[in-house]
This record gives sequence, C-alpha cells and structure tokens, in this order.
Amino acid sequence: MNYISKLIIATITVLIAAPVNAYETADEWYNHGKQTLKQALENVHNKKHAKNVILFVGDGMGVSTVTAARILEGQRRGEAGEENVMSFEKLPYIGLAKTYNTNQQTPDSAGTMTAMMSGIKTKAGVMGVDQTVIRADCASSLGKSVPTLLEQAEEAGLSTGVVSTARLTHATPAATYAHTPERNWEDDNDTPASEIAAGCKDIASQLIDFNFGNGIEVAMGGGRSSFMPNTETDPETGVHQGERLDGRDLTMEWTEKYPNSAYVWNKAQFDAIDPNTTDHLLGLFNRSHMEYNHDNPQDLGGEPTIAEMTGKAIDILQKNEKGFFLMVESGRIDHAHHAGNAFRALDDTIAFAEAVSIAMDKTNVRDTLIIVTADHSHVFTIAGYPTRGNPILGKVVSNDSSGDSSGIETLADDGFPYATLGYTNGQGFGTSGDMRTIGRQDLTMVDTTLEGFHQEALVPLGSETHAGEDVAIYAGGPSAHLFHNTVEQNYVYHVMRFALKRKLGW
Amino acid sequence: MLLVASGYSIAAETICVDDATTFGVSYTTDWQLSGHEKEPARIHNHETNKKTVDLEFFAKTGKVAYLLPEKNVAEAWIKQPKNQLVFLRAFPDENRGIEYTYGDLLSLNVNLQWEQVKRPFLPLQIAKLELLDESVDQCGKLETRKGIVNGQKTIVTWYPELDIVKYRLVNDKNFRVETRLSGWKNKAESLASFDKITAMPTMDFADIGDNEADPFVAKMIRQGFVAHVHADGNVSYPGGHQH
Ligand SMILES: [Zn+2]
Repeated sequence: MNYISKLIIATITVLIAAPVNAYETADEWYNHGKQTLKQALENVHNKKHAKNVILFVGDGMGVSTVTAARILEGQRRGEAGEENVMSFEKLPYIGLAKTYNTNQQTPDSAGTMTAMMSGIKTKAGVMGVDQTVIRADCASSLGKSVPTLLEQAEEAGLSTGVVSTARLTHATPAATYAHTPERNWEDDNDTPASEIAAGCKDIASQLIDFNFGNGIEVAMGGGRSSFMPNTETDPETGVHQGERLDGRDLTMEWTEKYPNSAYVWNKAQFDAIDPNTTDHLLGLFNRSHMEYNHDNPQDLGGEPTIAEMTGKAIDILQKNEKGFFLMVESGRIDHAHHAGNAFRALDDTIAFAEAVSIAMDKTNVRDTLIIVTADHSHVFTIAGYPTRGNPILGKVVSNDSSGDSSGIETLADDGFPYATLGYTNGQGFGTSGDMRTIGRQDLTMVDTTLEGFHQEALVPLGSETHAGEDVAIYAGGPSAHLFHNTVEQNYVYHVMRFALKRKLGW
Repeated sequence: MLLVASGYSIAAETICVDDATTFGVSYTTDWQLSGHEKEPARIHNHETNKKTVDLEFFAKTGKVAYLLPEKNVAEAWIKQPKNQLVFLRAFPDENRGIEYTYGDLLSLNVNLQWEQVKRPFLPLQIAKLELLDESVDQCGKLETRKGIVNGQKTIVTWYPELDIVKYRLVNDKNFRVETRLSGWKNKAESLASFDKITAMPTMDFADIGDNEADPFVAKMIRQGFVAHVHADGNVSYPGGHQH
C-alpha cells in the first residue's frame, strides 16, 4: 500500500498534471486551494505507536535548495516547474528547525546530526558527545558520550540501518553510531597516535566494533579506504591503497562478526544481494564519497543510486517484526554547494526525493514515521524576476510591462545577464581562473544550465559556506503531527523517541 | 602520442634516462616582462620584472608529478582505469595535500585527458608545430619546432620519443619566457620523489568546505590554491601556465 493516501495524491495532481501553465485557470487555482483546505480538515493525527522510523537527511538541503530542485524536477518532465511537488513535500506535516550549534551560529553537520540523533545540541565538529568536550581533545571527551537513537533502537531489538552517499565515516552517518571529539578521525591514519593512546577510537572501527543489540543490519555508502589496511590496494581504482595503519581489514571483520552477512563494493555485487537471505549488509561503493548522482554512470565499479540503496535497506530491515530505524543521508548536496555547482546539488536533491518516494512505496503510513529534513542550509539563492517556467538553471528572462515574458535576457546594471541561481560566497565563476582578480563575467555566451557551470558568488571564497537560517522538517506517519512549529533541531530526536516509546520506553 | 615504454634506446654512456617509464627532469625558466603589462600580483613579486623559476617533473607509469620547490607546491596527476584522472596538490613544507577525485574535478568543470597532463609544456600542441630541424644528442633524437601555442610565438627543441622539452622560448610582445632542461633524474630518484609527494596526508577537495576551521585549509583557501586547478594541467609558473 502506498504511504500517502489516494486523497492527497488526487488533490495534488490537479496542478502537477498540467503541462506548463497554459491550461491553468482561475477555477483551477481556486479549487486547488479548496482541495488543499479539505485535505487539511480531513487530516487526522496519527497517534499510534510507530513500528518503524526513517530519518532522511539532505545534507545542506536548505529551503531554497528544495524550491530550486522542485522546479528542476518539474522542468525535466517538460512542465513549468514551479507547481511541481516533490515526494517529501507530500508529507502532511512540516516544521522548522533552528540549526545552530552550541558554539556556532552557522552550524556544521557533526553538531547538527548529533542534535537529531542524540537529543542534545552540541559543538560543531564533534559527534555523539556533549558540548563540554574540547574539539579534537580525546581526554576531554571521555565519559561525555551521549546515546544515539540508533543504539537505543538496537538495544530494544529493532533492526537498524545507515545509508549515505558520503563516506559512512562522514559526520552525518557517523553521528548515528560513533562518539568522537573530532569528525575527521575517520580512520586510525587520521587520528593522532596520542589521541588513540588517550582512549579514542577512529570512526570506521566504531562502526565495525558497534556492540548494541545484535549489531547494525545495514550500512551502505562510501569511504572504503578507511576500512582497508594500507597494505591493500583498492579493488576499484587499482592505484590507491587503504588508509588503515593498524592492519585491520574491517570489511572482512564485518562478515566474520555477523551471521548471514555480506560485504559488497560495486553495483553488480549489490544487485546480487538477496534481502531474504542477507541479515547484515555492508556496502562501501567508493574509496571516498560516492559519486554525485549525475556522475553515477561514470563510476568505475558501478554504484547503486540512493533510491536503490534505500529500497534494499528497507527490504532487509523490515524482515524484523519488531520494526526498524533507518537513517538515509544525501551527503553530496552539501559538497556540490560547497563547490558552487548548483547543477549537481539540485540533481542530488532530486535523487534524494526519489529515495524518499521508494521508502513511501515500501512502508505503511499507519506504522512508519518518515521524517525528511536537512542538517543545515547553504548560502544559495533564487534571485531576480524570472518569468514563469524560466529554466531554473538558466539566466533571468523577466516579463515585459504587460506581464508576459520579454523573451530576452534581463541585464544587470553592469550590462551583463545574470543567472537565477547564485551564492552569497564561494568559487563564483570558477572556470575563469582566480576569481579574486576577475569579478563578474559577461554570461551572454555562457550556458549556465550546463553541468560544469559554477553559479556566481558575491564574496570570493575557495569554498562556498553553510548558511544559518532554519531548515524544514517534513513528516508523515505516527507522531508526525508533533512537527508543527519552529523547534530546536534536537527536538527531532525526541519525536522519533516518542514515536518508538512502546519499544524504547519513555 | 603514447609514451614509448620500450624500444627507446640511449647512448650507453649517458645518464639521461635509465628507464623511459620512470624518470625525472629539472627545468629552469627565465621569465621577463618586456612590455607595459604588469605581472599578475597573485603569483609574482611586484618588485621585479625578471624571475627565474625552477620546475622538477617526474614521470612514472600512469602518474606524473610537477614540483615547484620555491613555491612549496607539488602537483600530481594519477590515471585510474577508463582514463579517469585524480589530481593531487601537495604542500611539502606543510606535509599536507588536497586530493581532487575524478568527481571533484568534474564538479569543478575540469575534464582533462591523461594526454593533456602527462608532460609539461603542452606536448600535444608542440607536436603540431612546424618542424624546423632534427638532430641527436646524448639523450636521444631531437626535433626543433616553431609556431603559435595558445596565441604565443614559440620555439621548442624536444625529445619527441619522450615528449620532453629540452629548450623552449616563448616570445610575446609583453614577455619573454626561456626554459632550459637543466638535469635528469634517474629511476630511483624519481620514485623517491613520487613517494614523498604521494605519501602526504591528504584531504578530499569535497571535504574542504566542512573544514574551514583547519588552519591548513584556511591558509590554502586564502592563497587561492584550493580553487585553482589549471585547465591545461600545468602548474602555475610562468610560461607553463597558459589558458
Ligand atoms: Zn558542508
């Protein structure tokens, strides 16, 4: 059964089925509003206990990213785009999360994901420990660990899974299972010997040594080199070595530790996994982060998409009658934004929405709480007055005095056209060399919709930055109604915990 | 043109190249402004319009490295299967590096082929210049070619079987760049240099954005190194850096 009721879908298709905006009428707009109201009036809070919880995190997926990806998704189907509704926007509840870390106005993923997974805000750069620790100081972190929802779910007998397109040891996925005063201690090569001696374990080894419940059932993403000894050559590139200095092959340890387990590193192996006979699956599809969705076809060994990983994870996890907790991160929306490349950020957001759609198809809204949110935003804007249906990755074409498209690119005061999408800071027009000596470029002959274009930036920085405004929390299923206002980000944990209270206790 | 891995013979008494797949060369480049143009402030010293720059180049099967000793920068290109490149920019004094995976390079709109980065001074373009002379020295067959490279008048003498430039003069109305091969490195020296460059701890370019608090990263961002991967695969020293 589909996650979202037929009523909601019927309501929404009134507009999303319309090609471009040629057939929109006043009646249609009016009825759409009325239908939306009817749906809101008929909506009944689901106060049942949740059997399953799925937390989707779009890393860096601020509201402007959602809006732009929504438009691009629609435009790729030949529609105007603005009226499109992405999968997770069909969820009936929404709130806003305040994302700051305890020591930082604009946050990072480590502190924000700790808030969502452990129920407390903490510092930037640390995971699974409280705000009293000193970053990168092992001694200060001992005894400061805070339990994560994934650990608690395991202890309660649920199945658990972590899926990310970033390295599995990267901040967001790691905050589900690891406790560390430094997000960069991903393997023992990254961790100073003095800190290992002080009693801190690298993040990759924490995933394999995880000893809550019967262990994590599904862990899929990138980051293979942190799980391989430096004496081993990477199976995919053939020209790189593993990172580990301690000689441990953590992939082998995974299969030795768990019954009915498997380790896969490419798409063919992933496809061959039968969820019915596999109880513990480790997938490491890239030596570092997985490819951007757009570059997936070029991956050497082949990689599953985030939707495929989500589907297989759910197939394995839902064998457990007690239920499951799954965290799925689209980790590279953030990276593409940092690179100033909106094309890949939006493409990854669309792939992320598809993963949510798969989860909606495979679960039941009556017993599964689905939350879709971001850890933080980016300084990404949708600017100018482009006409309706203007290509979202394109240059601004405004309307004329009668309100119809002028058909010509709007020029800024410097006489140059400008793109709708832009960043407050970052690489700017990165293909022209050193942006610090160049400034704004004439985009007249530039196709800004191409995959390699870097949106313009005002402040030159080698890397575009996160932004500090709130992020949206979309939710459906049991306890989803508890998202309805502006909350501190650590509240996300408390709703998930409450939804699972029959299993985890309260 | 492929690197000649076998069949390349050199005179027995020379020490130019003991293994045509694994060797190194040193270059000295004299760079002089001749016109009114100011040199780019980003790279060079304002106080002089003359500069000598050293470059060391190392080749190994599927890997090349460019080392600018005085700038504390080494850049390496590594060829993966399907001709996908990985780029490494290392800072020997810091013992740190930044690695640009194939996907990182694509996201930066850098889509280079191995043939474009495997040697300094744009050998693909040199090979198309007008042939003026052929000769032989103790290191092998030489060709002298002349023509326009990236809009600049260029004369080159090179070892076509190694794709290695022996002498190059770029004479533009604004500057004059003269490059000389100043020495060869044997296989052992080249391997040692590769090990030094590729053994440094690296951070992925994709992770730079989440590590601005790292003093190394902050410094590299300030210096503009992070953003600037050259589309021609050549390091940013005068004459070699041509867009
Ligand atoms: Zn980030």
